[in-house]
Amino acid sequence: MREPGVALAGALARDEGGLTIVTCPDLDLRDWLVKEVESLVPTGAAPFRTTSVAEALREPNRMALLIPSDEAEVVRDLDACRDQALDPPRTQPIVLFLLRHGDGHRTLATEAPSAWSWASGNDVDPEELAELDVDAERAAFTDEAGAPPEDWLVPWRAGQLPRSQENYTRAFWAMTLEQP
Amino acid sequence: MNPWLDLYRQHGALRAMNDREAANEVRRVLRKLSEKPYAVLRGDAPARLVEGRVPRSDTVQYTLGREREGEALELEDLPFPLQEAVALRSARLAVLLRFNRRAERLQEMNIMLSGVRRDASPWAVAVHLPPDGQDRDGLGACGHAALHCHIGPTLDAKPKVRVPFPPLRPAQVVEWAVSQVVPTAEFEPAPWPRVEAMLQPT
Repeated sequence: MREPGVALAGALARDEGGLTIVTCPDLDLRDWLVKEVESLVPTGAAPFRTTSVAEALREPNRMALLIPSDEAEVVRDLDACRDQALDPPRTQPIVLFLLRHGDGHRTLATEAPSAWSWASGNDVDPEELAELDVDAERAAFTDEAGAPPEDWLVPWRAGQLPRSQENYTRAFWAMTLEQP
Repeated sequence: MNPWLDLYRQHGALRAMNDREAANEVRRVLRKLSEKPYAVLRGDAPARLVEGRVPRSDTVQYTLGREREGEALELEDLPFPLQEAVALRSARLAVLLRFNRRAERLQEMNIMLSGVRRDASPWAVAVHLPPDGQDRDGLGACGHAALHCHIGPTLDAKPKVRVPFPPLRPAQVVEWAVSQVVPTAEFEPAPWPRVEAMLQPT
């Protein structure tokens, strides 16, 4: 399974000076994902937030976090401006935040072939990747610990298992997977 | 009794936090720890604080590395004078955080730094905030404070020392744990000159 943070960082780093698309489930989460990107990037990337493609293009050596007010319009602007991003060549990417199933994605797929190919392979939906596969995790736990999470936790909670680092970690894992 | 009761209340109050905000704070600390020339974590450490959400539930966890075992500190590449000051031959940092997202509550915190001294003996420090509702272990809030720190050759070695810990957020606990192993001003978030300056009356 891909790690959401690694997938996000990979998308940011994959194409130096390219276009990266971060998909967000809703507007509230978009704010958090912007903050997450800011916390992930190297200090030297000097990220800044903008709503405008022109402003993003004016700063080729800083990571532009492009947070559109009108997604479709911004995607069309990017589609028309790809050449400007090559001269001078950017050293930092433009990171475009789009809502899942929103106007931006629709416009990208139907009206913006240039922007679509520009971002090709650099799109990531970290919230979707963050969902645990509980069945697979429980099977892995049972395989490793020799008992399902609930059964393993009984002696742990009774203080009958050594308080080792390994067991603390296992208890943490079990409690995340524990079912009522 | 009151100071211990107050501490227990402070530990309870600490649990009120937004998971994404707390995770981003930890990522910023990991970024600091992974930037050269004093990098002790691999460059993608901030990205390796992995979010895992349990479907159809409010539970979300963050672990340093999906496999939960944490990240090895890269001590051998530190600049020379600092390398001499580091008493461990190897070390590993583990970060385990679990939240109730809807309630904006830290359910459990487990931040461990374990390693091997130069004489090959083990050493570990671990800050634990047990699961919410299960934090009254031991005999009381003094001997087994809710937020406490184990220090010893292993977490299970006797006497089991549990130092009461001040109500610090996860990012600050990570800063503190690493500061115990890598004593450099580069990682000190509150250097005395800055503290002194801020203590001056304005």
